[in-house]
Amino acid sequence: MFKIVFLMGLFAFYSHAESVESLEERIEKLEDKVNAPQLRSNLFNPGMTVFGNSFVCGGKGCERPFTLREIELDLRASIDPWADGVVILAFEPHGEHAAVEIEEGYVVLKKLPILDDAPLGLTLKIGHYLQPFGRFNQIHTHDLPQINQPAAVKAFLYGDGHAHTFGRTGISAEFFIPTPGETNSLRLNLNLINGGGLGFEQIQKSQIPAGLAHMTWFWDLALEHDLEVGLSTYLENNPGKALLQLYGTDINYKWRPYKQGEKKSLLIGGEFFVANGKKGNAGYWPLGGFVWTHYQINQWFYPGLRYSYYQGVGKQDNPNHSIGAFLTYYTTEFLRLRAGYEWDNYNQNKVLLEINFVMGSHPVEPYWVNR
Amino acid sequence: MKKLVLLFLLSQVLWALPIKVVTTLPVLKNITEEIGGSRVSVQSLAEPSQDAHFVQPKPTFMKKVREADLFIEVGLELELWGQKVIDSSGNPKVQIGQPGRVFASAGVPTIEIPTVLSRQLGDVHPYGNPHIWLDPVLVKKMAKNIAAGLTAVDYEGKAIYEKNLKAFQNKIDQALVVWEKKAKSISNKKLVTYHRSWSYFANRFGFEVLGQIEVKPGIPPTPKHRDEIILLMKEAGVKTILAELFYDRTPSEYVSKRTDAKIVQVPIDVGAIPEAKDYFSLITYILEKLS
Repeated sequence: MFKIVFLMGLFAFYSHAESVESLEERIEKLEDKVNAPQLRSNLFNPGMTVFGNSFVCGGKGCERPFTLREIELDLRASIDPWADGVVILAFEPHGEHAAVEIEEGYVVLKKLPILDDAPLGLTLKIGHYLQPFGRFNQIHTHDLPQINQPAAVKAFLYGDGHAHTFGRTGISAEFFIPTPGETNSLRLNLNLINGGGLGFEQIQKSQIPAGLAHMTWFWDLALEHDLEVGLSTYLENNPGKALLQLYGTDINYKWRPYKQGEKKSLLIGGEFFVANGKKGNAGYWPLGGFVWTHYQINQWFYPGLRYSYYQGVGKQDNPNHSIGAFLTYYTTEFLRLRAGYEWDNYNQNKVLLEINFVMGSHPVEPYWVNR
Repeated sequence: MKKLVLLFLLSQVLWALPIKVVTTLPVLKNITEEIGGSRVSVQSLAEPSQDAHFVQPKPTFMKKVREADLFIEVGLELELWGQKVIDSSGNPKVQIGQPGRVFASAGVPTIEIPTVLSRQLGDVHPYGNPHIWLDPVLVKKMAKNIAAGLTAVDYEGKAIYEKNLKAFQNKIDQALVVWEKKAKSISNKKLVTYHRSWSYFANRFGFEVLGQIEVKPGIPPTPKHRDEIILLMKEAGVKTILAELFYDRTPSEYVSKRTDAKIVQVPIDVGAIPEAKDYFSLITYILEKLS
């Protein structure tokens, strides 16, 4: 009799334990259902960000005292499991009106459905995009660490206007080159793009695409120190002219202590260019480049300095030197005020005050130091 | 025949290669190693002493992720830099929707979900407070998500992952008894924290968080806010300021001097100090420092 009671008790205990377990599972499944929408549902709309950038200019070399430099609309989303899309429209003032420029508009193919893997981490970018020549050339105006592009970048890559002279439309293939060790990485970016000359050498449109390559070697020097070195090449062949060649190198060092959070950092960088000749003159290789630094004193303030030099590629044949000093103040990553002073050996001696704001789902680099 | 033997041996070597896992945070690495055991090789991208919100997506991270079979992140928009690393890695296995991508927070009930989404509220997280790993009960669910992710990319190891998951969850249950006893022995449980990272921890162990030294999430204190916090602490009798190791001590020291409160600066992640070598010692260390 005792045995029967014991067995019945045991049975009741196990059934109870089992029912508690199944109840727990059911509760967990219901919780999963309730919490399911947390997984980054953007309702299929593109992530949208608006950037605004204005500045005040005073002194010699200023066109107007107040300038709304640009309003930029950044839209990005996944297109399907294999591709992402990016469209960036810039609204820039032209006299009393505004012109809309497609700053970027491209699709990134991460993998083709017919392939199991992307060899060497290959990604393809097709469309209209900032060309990877050096580092500053790939940065949008609102993201620059200084108020404007260095004079050497403008001379070699931009020409007289704000727009790039060499084409932005083309196809890019970026992949890793295997290297030993885990503290460094080597990436190569190869591009075929529409030609169009350089900043100082604008040439007629041609059916022959230009080639652009950028190789980047990144090295974690130590836990809080890293170094990046890039090499760039641009080649354009136009019938009846010498092969247009532009070579560049970019170097950036960064120190950012972990224990200070967002309070301290130091960046030192530079880019150097050499091209073959003004107006295609054989045997003439003008040089240019700039160096800069940017020290973060605390969470808000970043003073910086820049020196730029180029020779014989602008309107003047003599060398151009310019020096700039900047002080950046962030209220948060979404609002930035910047004061700057610029001097050059021709006609600049001006003070600039810039304001930059960001609205919406901003990409992940809130401060320039995180780029 | 020799070739066949060689091929067989080679296949056995390849068969035995561990699953390559990359996690955003060291705490996820630790949990993954507990569950995966010798079947996994895990790397964390962030350093234990870093603020998880602001990690620089470096090219060396992309290189690591390129080789990964599985990528594990907390989610809840904590590691916004993680997506950039994945995009630039060119690894299709770890994209959203693929078996190689795990959000450890999936199905975890979150708190402090903002009713209004505006930058006026500071750096708010739209899906709620993401510091879920500071509640050991929620870590059991995170571990389950990780085990499911490991099984998805390595079905052969399913039985091992299930066994290790059960063992890990039991270990949490056992430790919880000790931790709760320790927490109960702390007399004054009123806290002011630097950042709003400690809500789950406080809820689990019965602490009362009365305010933050930050004026809003991610926004350092203004003088007016500091004075308000000092007044609040004096009125409510708060004697402890709890902050993560990576935050600047200056604002906490200012408040501490005027309230006689002690500053407890502790790691929030595994491995930041030798005493917090795994998840269990991390929680034990935090409770020890608060007692």
